[in-house]
Amino acid sequence: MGNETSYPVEMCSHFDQDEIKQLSKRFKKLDLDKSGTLSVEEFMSLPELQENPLVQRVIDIFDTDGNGEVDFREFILGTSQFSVRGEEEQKLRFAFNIYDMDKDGYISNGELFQVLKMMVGDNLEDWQLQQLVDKTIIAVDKDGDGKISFQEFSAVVGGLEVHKKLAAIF
Amino acid sequence: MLGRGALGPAWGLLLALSVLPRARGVEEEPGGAHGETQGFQVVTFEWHHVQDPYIIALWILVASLAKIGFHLSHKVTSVVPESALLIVLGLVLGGIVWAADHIASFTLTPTLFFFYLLPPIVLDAGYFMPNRLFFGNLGTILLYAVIGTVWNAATTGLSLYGVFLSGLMGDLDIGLLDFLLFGSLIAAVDPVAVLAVFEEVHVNEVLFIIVFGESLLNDAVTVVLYNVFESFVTLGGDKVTGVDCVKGIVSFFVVSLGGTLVGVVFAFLLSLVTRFTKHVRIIEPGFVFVLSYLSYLTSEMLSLSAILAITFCGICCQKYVKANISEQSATTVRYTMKMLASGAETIIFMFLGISAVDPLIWKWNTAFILLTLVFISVYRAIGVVLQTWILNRYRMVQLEIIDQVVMSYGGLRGAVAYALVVLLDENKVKEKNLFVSTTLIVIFFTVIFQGLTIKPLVQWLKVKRSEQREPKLNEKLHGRAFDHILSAIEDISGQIGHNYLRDKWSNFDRKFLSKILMRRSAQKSRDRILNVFHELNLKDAISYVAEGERRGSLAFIRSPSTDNMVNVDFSTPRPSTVEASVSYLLRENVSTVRLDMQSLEQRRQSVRDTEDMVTHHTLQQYLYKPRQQYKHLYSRHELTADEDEKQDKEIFHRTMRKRLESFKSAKLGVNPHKKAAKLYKRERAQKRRNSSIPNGKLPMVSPLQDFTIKEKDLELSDPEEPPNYDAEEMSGGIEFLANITQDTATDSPSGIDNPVFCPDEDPSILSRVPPWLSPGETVVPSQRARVQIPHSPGNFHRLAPFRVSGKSVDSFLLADGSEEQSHAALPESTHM
Repeated sequence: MGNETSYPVEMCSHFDQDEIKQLSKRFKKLDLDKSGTLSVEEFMSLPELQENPLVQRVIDIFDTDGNGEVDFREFILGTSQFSVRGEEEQKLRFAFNIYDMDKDGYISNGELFQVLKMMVGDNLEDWQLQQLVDKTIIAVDKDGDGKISFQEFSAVVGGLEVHKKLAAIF
Repeated sequence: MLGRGALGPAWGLLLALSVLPRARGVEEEPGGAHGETQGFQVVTFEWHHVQDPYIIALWILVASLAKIGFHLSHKVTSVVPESALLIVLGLVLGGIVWAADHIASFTLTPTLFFFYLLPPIVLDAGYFMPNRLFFGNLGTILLYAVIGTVWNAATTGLSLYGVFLSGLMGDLDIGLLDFLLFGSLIAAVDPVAVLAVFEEVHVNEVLFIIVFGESLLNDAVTVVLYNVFESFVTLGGDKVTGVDCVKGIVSFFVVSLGGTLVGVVFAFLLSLVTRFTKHVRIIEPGFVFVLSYLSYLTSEMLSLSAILAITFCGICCQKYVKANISEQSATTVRYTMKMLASGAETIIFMFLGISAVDPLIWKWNTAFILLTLVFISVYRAIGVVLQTWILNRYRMVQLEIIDQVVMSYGGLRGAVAYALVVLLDENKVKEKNLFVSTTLIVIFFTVIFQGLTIKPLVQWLKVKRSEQREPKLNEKLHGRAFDHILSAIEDISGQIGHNYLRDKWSNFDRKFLSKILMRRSAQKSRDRILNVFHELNLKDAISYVAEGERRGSLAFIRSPSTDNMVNVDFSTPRPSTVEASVSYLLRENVSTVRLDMQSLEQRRQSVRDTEDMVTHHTLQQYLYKPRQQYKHLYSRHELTADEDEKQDKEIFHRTMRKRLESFKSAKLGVNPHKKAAKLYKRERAQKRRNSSIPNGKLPMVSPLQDFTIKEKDLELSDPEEPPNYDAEEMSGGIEFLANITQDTATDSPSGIDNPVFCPDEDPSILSRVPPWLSPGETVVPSQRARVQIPHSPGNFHRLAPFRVSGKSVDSFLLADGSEEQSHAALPESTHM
């Protein structure tokens, strides 16, 4: 396990020393095979996460270098975005990335469908869901390119008081 | 009205009740006189023989019948809280009895209340307390309970004294200490009343636990203050010294901590006892009640806080008792507790009403009563605001204005105050009757008036808040996504923060306590149960696949079970006759749909609006609900089953499927660097391979996935072999149940695809009629996994050895090499 003391607190995270210590303990606890990184299976060993439809997306966003595993640095940076001290734009960015699966900066029709599918499951049929996605994009898409950019996303979601909703107690 | 009809017999009973006491007096003499002269009597009327238990049973019967009566009219109970109805009923009954008999018959005596009626309610509260939430907010709760109650008592008492000094109250024989005594007993928020009202007002869980916890924990403060001031009053005002005051403060700590300790000790004993009750299953539930009750009585005996004792007994023993006793015993305990608590609460409120009808106790002093009401409300509000302001500097999740309003308004007084005031000694406290009358008025006001109005108030405030931004389609969608994201983050970092203690505690618990207090079988079976689930899952998966082979592909995927009325057949075009009007939807979807009436009403005008409405409606209904929303915490009157296991199962299976797909893609080298790394790591981490696990699998539609053919051959071969599971030594890595679905398009190499528009899909999808023009088929075809495969949590053991070619030199691959040849002989089943 990496030496968390060797990571400077100013790791662009919003945490103070205590929180980082506690998070590192949590990391160690989750890291069942002591490999120093968290794989998806290790995340999934938490029963509550198995029941969360968006977990895979969240883990993918944590995994910034795309190697399939979340190391400690990614873990800290990822969870830091949800700190109460985080900025609203950071949180919006996170939420945007949930939808933007290929990380190209736009939410396409297919991506939105995928994520909604995760959230709706089989309660809706695919063509019904597709209708929903189309309407959503039409409502949001200001420049008419058929995709949702981050600006368009923020404009719509801004009213939800994201920074209050996406604030976890660490 | 039926309600009155049901109460008819109750009236009859009551009249009989009032007549009987007199009859009793009359009976005895002739009975006695005749007894000597008549010899043997075949049948006698022995009223006095059964009098006491008979009357008790009759009262319980009346109360229960009254409950039935109330619930016959749903409209009434949705507006008026049950406690208010019961008080009114009590008043009426008391009036009848008094009119018939001119005596105040039955009152709520402190003994009856404190020894028989209060313990079940508090035990029920403690046993079903959501521990994690409670201890998570313990600091807040303690602050409100202790400081808040002291503040209330002091300010109320002193203000009343101040007003008395100003002469507004007229001539009363009271001193400062009397006022403080009164303040202390009227200050406490009552758990019975709070629960009774909050159950009907659905507030968020944090707010609920704060008010509820406060009402439970303030008992210690109330007891101490009450005893202290009562002994001061007994001593006489001038003889109170500083030492006595210090002793009072010390006694607070002793009483509260001592009561808690007694509760914990009895919880320990209870858990220990239930560990050994394997052979006496029938009386297992009895232990729970007896030992909890003993904790109450013991603490009362030692003059410690009995409510705290029984609360903590319930809180602490929950986990171990539930693990140790059998399923049936657990159900018995739950139901009995709910029954006792509910019954006790009913009786309490009814008796409060009856006891009020006693002209002897009434002494009216307008100023006193009015001012008391004003003071307690105002000071509570001020206290809440001040404390919240302090707390919000230390809390992560802030308490907002609406929360504070609910907290101050929900500070109801109840029977505890009444019982305490009746306990006063009228020789020491000269104006006891005034206090009693005032207490009764206060209780009636808070329970009836505040109980009636709190629900509309909350709704009005909430509606007011959300009116600022109308929830648009996008907002709803994304809001729900955010909830899920936050749930995930909270779970990932779950036990952090002030949960350092929680971690410590769970370690301690795991190492020592569970070993002592939980049955060995319970400790072990935590894992074994998972295995059983696992096995069941597999068996279902096998049979499912077999079914699929028989019946063919797509239709099978979409609607396997015959319960579903909707059978999606991709081949036939949808009938496009009926336009979905509001009423149509309403008619068609009565059973499963919760209609969003607001959106329905707003959008009745045009077709486009109808379409919007349908969309909103489907969104509302079909988005998975995040964790916090659907788990309703505590209910006095209901044992809520977990109705949303379905959702959990579904999500779980979906997740497992996705994991499996990505794993499969890794095997094919689709995303080599990422997935192969995972695969490799998994190989390293695990010791054994289970080679004989069949997998539920669906025949694939798209020809992209032609490797599935091979997989299917391999995997379908072993339905008979029992799966071998690794023991719990598996280093906790997740292993999958192999389920492949159409969603493999997710990880296809061509980037993010919209599976609906995959070219392989049946083109008739596009020609299908849009939803608003089709008959309301919003009843969902249940996915096979949801219906047939039971919920399998936790660690799946890896089942499928995936392999691409038999020429691999990996050891685990080679191990299965021999099986591969035998599988190749199996015929390919349906594959479209």
